[in-house]
Amino acid sequence: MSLSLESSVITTDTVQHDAVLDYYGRRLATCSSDKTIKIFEIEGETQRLTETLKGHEGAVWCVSWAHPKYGNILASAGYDGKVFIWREQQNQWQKIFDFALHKASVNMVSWSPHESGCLLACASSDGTVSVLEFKDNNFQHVAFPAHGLGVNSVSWAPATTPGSIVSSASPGQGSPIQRRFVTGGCDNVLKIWTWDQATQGYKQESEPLTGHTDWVRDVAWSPTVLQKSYIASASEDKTVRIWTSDSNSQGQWACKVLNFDAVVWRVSWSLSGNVLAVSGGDNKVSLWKENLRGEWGVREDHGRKNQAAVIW
Amino acid sequence: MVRLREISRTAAFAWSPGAGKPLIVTGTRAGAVDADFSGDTKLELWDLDLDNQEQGLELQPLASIAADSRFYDIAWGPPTDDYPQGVIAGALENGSLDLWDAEKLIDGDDDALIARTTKHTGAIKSLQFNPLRPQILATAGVKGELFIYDVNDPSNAFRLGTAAAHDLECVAWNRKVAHILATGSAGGFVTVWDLKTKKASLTLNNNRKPVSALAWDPNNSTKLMTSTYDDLAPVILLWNLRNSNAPERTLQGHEQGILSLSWCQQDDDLLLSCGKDNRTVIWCPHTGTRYGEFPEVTNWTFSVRFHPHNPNLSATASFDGKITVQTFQNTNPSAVQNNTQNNLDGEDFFTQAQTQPQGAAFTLAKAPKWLERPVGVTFGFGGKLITFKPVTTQPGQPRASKIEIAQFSVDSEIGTATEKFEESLKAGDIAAICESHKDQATTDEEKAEWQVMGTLLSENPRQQIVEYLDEKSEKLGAGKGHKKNRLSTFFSDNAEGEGDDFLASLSATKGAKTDNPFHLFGENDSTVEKDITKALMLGQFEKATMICLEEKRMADAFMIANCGGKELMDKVQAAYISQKEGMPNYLRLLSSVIVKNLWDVVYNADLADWKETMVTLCTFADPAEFPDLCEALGDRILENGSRQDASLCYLVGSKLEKVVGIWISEFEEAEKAGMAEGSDTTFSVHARTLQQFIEKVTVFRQVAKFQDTETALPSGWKLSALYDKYCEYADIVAAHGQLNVAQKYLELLPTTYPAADVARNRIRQATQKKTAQPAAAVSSGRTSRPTVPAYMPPAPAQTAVHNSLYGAPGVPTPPANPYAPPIASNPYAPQQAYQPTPPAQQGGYAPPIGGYAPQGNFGPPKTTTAPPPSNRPPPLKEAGNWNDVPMVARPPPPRKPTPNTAAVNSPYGVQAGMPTPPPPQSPYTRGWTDSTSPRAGSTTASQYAPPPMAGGAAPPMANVVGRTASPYNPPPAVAAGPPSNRYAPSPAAQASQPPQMGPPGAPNPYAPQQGYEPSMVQQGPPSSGPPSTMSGPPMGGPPMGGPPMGGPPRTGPSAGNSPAPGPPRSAAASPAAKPKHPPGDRSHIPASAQQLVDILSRDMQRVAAKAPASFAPQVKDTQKRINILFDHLNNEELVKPDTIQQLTQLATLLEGKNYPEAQQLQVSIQTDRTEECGNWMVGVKRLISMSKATP
Repeated sequence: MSLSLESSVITTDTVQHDAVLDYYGRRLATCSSDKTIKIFEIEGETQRLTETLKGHEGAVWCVSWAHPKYGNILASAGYDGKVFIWREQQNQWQKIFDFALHKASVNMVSWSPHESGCLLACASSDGTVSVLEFKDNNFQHVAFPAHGLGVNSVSWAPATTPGSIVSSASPGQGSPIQRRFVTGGCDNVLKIWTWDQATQGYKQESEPLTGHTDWVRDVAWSPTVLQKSYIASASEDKTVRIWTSDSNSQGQWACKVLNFDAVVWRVSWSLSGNVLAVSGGDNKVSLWKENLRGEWGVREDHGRKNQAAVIW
Repeated sequence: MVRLREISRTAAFAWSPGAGKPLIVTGTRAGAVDADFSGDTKLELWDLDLDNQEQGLELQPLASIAADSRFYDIAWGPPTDDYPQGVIAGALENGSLDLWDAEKLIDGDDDALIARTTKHTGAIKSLQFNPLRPQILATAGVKGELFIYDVNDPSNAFRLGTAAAHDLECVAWNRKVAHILATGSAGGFVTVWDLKTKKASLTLNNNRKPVSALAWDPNNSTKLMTSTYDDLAPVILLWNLRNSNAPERTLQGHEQGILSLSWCQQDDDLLLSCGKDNRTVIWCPHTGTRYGEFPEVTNWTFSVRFHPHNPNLSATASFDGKITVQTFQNTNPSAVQNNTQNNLDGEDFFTQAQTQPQGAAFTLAKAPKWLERPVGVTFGFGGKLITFKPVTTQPGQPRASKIEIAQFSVDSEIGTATEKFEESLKAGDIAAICESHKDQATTDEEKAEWQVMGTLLSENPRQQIVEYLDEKSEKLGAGKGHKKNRLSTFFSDNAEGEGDDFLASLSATKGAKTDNPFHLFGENDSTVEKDITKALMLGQFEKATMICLEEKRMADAFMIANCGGKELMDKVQAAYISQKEGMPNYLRLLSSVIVKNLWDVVYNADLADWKETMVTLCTFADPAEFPDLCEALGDRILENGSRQDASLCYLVGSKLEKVVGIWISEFEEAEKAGMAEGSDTTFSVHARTLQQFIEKVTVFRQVAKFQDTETALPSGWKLSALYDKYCEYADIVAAHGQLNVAQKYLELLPTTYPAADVARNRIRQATQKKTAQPAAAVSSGRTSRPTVPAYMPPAPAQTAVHNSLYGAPGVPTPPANPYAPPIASNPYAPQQAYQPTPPAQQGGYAPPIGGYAPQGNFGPPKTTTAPPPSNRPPPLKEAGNWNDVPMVARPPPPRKPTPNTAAVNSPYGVQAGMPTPPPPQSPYTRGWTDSTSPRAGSTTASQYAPPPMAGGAAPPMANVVGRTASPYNPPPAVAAGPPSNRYAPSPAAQASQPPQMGPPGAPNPYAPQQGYEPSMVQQGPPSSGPPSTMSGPPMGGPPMGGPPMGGPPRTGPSAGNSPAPGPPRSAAASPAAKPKHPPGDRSHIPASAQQLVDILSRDMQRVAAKAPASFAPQVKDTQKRINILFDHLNNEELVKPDTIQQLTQLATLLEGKNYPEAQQLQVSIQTDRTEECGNWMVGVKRLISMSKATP
């Protein structure tokens, strides 16, 4: 396990709130307090600002790339309560949808796994979650109250349940594509929601996941489809909780607590879902892995300047 | 702002502390008159219940208890050990300090009151818990009384300061220094107290205006704000204690006296104030900027407070009988209105309207700090880790962030393992790989597999296998003779002892005869012997043999037959073998060997002796049949549970799909074992095991020179389990940044494999240097190619070719915009491309010649639409074989349904010399052929049958995939079948057609074919959206299509013409379309052309047999072309009778080796009858020159 020296550094004169690479790892979208979204082209160790998207009337909190099969699409959400969908065509970026339903800051947006469709979940401080669906050239939405005190984060479950990896040769058979996500809010709990075909809405699955003693700032559902489902949650209470569930646990989630020195802002799973990156208010980044005994160990600290591979 | 809740009380209030669900405690406000003029004094608890959608705007109290006196102020202290929900303290008008246990209050207990202390001589105006020492409480009241309590022992309070003339109106603890607090007096002084010295340390002159409220800076211990209720100068002052002479800033905006301040703890840029002007204003205290105000209410707002933990919420209490809980944002005002409206239901509108706050809805424009995510980390494709964090800047400088992208490797093991493996591959040292794996193998099974693979590498793999098996089996002796003996016994035990070697005895017999002198007609000769002798003397070997056979003089019969030629010999052999009774078992083996039919051995030999069976196969099996024999043997072994042995058979037989099945189960077991060890992470174990699996497969592919023939199929791949693993592996490898490697494996996937495209494209995008340029594809090709060494199979190349043929449908991303979505959302949409298929014919025949059809039918896109096959490296290899430039321009050859690859390849691949049309995928490599050659019992027969027969036999066998039901069918089934039967479609072929053509879910995929005109379609520009998934030879072949021979073929030539298949295509069939015979069929050659066909095929064979190996491609190409001609002739199409005549003449010249004239004639035919000359003419031309060059 190693982490090379920072291969690329961008310094901005405004505060950034999100930075995500696209599906190919070729473009970096960042968003900032200055109400703009910036898109950088990454080439090796260099990067070039190619676009600045303006339109938000407040700080932009979150950007998220859609799966390329739906086009070159970026979603953004901000303090202005707006969710924008941007699309690039012929090298031109255009805002193709302006979603202004929410009454307060939209803190996070998240695209669903592409298998389940072109769906965007939005978490808002107004206590609701909305799910936009792009279908038939049209955006439709479902909104529902999720965390009355405000929703901070949302993360989709992988399209198939772990342990039921269906062969790609027979899509549509085996376990159906699920629409399921987790939200975290100012009420210190996580809630899991599943699409209910009957009511055409999202239904809360079992009881909220409780344990955090302060706001849940971020949630991340591991994309892994091996064995277990993993959800990581980052909280103001200076802990990260890792919730696991497998086919035997019947909807019950076990929980492990990782302690930190500072509030934890962000958790992110690696693409294979086996490593968890945690970033805290002390500006430190740590990477965590679970061993087979189910213990989580820090694997890397990216906090100090110019720190390269630190292996524990 | 959004008004969330209302409490209908005129009351002092306090928020519950902490992160739990927000509650509000209220105490009836002193100095106010209730709407109902009641004198009740209550302490009440309210739950905002924000998650409850049923809850209306107006709340009902959760708990309500009577209090002794009215409240000036109320505070809720943080939880302590004794009071898990904290303590509620009331500053009462009567001077007593009442303490309640919040938990008991919540629970509804009556005895919530903890203590009542009366230190004050008059009303307590203000109180506050120490934010840093939650058990410490300060109260301030009339006559300058200021007390400090420990809530655990409230009676033991101490007093600060002395009696003063003025009342203290407010008290506030410093947020940073626990022992500092400040009070504000009605006399206009702000006093800062130090608990350590228990003295006032500083006094601020608040412009001599009464101080109504105090608020310390949340972060800066020397700053505080004060306000005054004086209506003449309603200002808020910001003080810095370092300069107590004058306020640092003055906030002006209220029109009347200010009654309350609240400085946000989470964002020091936010301050709330409210007052007698009925307004609640939000400020930036540092700059004095007024952000805005909440809607004005109808009476004084006397208290405002941020929720101490969730500053999204704040509450304002006013004398109009309400406490309003609100947010700061309303980004969608229209929606809120409805909400409010709903809550008015059932109430009198006018009474309500009067008390509704006035003014526009307010939304806080500045984003509060608690929503600002300062740091973050995310993962990106290709092992990238992106982090961002704030950069420390000088105060006053704009805040900045730094974003870093680092390369990250989850598991260095995986990275190095992959690298190492790829390097060895590049170095080409497969043997070393096998060797090292063998050494590292943990299980015997694994070891054996690697050893076998190593063995396969050798020059004479079969010999090696024999030796390997030899080594393994002590039972097998070293000597060849001995081995034979052993072999002979393995069919049954009682065979032991009948050990005389058959061949040996043959020669012995022979020897005996030569040793003994004899008379032609001996005295003891019987009549029979005499007859034989006579026949021999007359040279009637056949007759002599027959007599011998009748007399069961086998040895004699053989001897005589030996002189009578091969045919006779065979006859005797057959006769000998056929009399099975009483024969030793070895003869059965021998019979198998002699007739080159080892299926008997494979299927019937006892499995205990499988190794011997294997040795036999290695020794005798025809190369073409060998893999299938091995497979069959492996199947049998597997059925009996010995995975390792089965795997060996598959390995030896180069049956990747079967081996993979076994390896995948091994993989799963290994993973489980790894998990059980428990020292590593789940993922690492998984990844490591997967790596080993992939290495094994890769090496094997290389060793066996395996060529995946199914990559062009749209579905039903035999190797789909492997493809899954490839995808997964590519994902993992890519996640470790090794995109080239990932790409290499993705290239091995079929074009239409789900997810393959996306994944491939992802890596291409990720690796390419420039986006949005067509050149990108080339560059990616360049980068990826070198990593794909020699064994880069035709798979990608193949698909690339087929892409270009069909218009690159597999490329989801137009090069102009690599990020754009695939254009063809429905891959099945472009039906036109398939229209050329004449439905009736399709029903009737499965056409091997289809190999040409795509070129003819779909060729044009190559030049017209010219979609760059940017998805993968250019089809260099194929181009070499297929540089048939003329084809593009020419009218297409016969309209055939798209070919079944299996059908095309299997019969011909082995026999390079046969003048049959090679399939489009150029199966010139052994490995490729081996893997697809049908495993019917009759393969031998069909492969050695004369060319036309083989062609004819092909269609029924087309769909044989997998183990056939009845593999031991006697060869004659094919060879001797009545010609008419061969054209009957095999039931399997028919059944399989619809799924091949019909896109899943499309109700009627054939509809567009209605009334189409074949020729027009053929020539029309196929620009209308090339098909994507259907583009491959669309059969996939039903995996278990009926046994080729098992089912009785339809009889009667009509079978082929009356299309039984149900699909609409039969209805759509153009009545004009003439039934077509399958390519390769030679039974309908008109008499006029028979001579021509005979001569040309003869000459072709002659040429093929003698041509130098280096010309093999040209020879094959020529054969292919000549066969096109034959197909035309067979269908009596294109070539007109007089042309046939001319061609016959040409053939005769050729036969007469009159090359100059033949060439002349050829030129003249080509000139005069251009319209009839298709691709075949080039073949004729080449044949002439080849024939000329062949002695």
